[in-house]
Amino acid sequence: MTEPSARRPRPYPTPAPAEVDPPRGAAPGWLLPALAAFVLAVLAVVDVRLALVRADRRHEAHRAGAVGAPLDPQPPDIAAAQRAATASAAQRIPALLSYDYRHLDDYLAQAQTSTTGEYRARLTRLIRTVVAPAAARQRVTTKAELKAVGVISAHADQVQLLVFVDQSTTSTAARTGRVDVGRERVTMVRTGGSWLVADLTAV
Amino acid sequence: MGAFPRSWWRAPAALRAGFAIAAAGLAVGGILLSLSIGHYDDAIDQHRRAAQRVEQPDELRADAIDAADRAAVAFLTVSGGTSSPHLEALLSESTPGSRNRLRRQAASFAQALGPGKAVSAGSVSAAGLVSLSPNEAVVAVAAKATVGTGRGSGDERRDYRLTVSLRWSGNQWRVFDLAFVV
Repeated sequence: MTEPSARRPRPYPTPAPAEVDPPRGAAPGWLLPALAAFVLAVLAVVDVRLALVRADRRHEAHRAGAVGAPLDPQPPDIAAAQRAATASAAQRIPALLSYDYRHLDDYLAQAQTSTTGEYRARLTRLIRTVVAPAAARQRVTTKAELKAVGVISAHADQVQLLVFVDQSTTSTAARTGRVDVGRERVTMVRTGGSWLVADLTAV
Repeated sequence: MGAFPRSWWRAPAALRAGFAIAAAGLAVGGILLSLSIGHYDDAIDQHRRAAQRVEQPDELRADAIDAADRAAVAFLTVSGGTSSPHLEALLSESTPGSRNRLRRQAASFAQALGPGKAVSAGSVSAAGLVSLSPNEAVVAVAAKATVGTGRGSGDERRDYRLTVSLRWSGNQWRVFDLAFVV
């Protein structure tokens, strides 16, 4: 008689349930934690830099106003004077240098309203004694076109400009027309609420 | 191995690879984002310097006009049919993208002086600021040049109208464009 235990097949030996090795060829176990740590570190750095940059930007925007826009690097009154004088000159200078021999009275009146001071008296004399007689005699028509305006200097009540202007002229002496290129130094002064031409000199 | 639950290794290989790729993608994206913020930071620095320049308006305006004056004189000064050392200095201080164009313009100007005219001495009569922003300025320049043969006879004065466009770079105004107003 055999012992029952001797006949029973021995149970299949099972390994201890301690560890499961990764399959051969799989990534090492430290890789993913390392990657995760790296990603977290990078994101943390990005966050910190972003916060610093934003704070810096807010500070600069507050300090400098709208940086990047065209600037008025002068006190407000001078910046306003510069803008107003330039705008006024852009209208008045072409008109001052344009005339038609058929409307010389209108031209004289308009020239007087656009100018001021000693220059107005001088220009009035020039128009009456030189320009108007010559224009009537030679049937002169001239039209001025503004090409560029630059600010030479600016103060609250006086702005000096460099003006480039072309004058297209027809007359009995130049029936096909002629173009003169001009470079004028123009002084604009504030008189009342208007900016008027106080001097105009070719440079 | 103990850092990972066993379930990680029991997960399908494709899933593990997907996680790894996603993590790597996040890392690369983070690096790229960091670099782009670095560039943004540089831009902020430029704005900061611009703001500092705005706080010194007279100096800013004067520097722009001075740079335009020098550019006009250098451009209009020709000796022996070739550009002057002034022009070479100007070109070295102009914006990189504009140098070849300015050199060609200067050569054209020298050729256009006319037959027998080999010398031109430029000078500025007046200059005014057309526009000004923190990084760009345009200056109108009324200039003249005494043009001659170089032998002291037959010199003549010629008037020019120019606009000089400037860009602020490397802590100075650099010529970006120069054009005759015709």
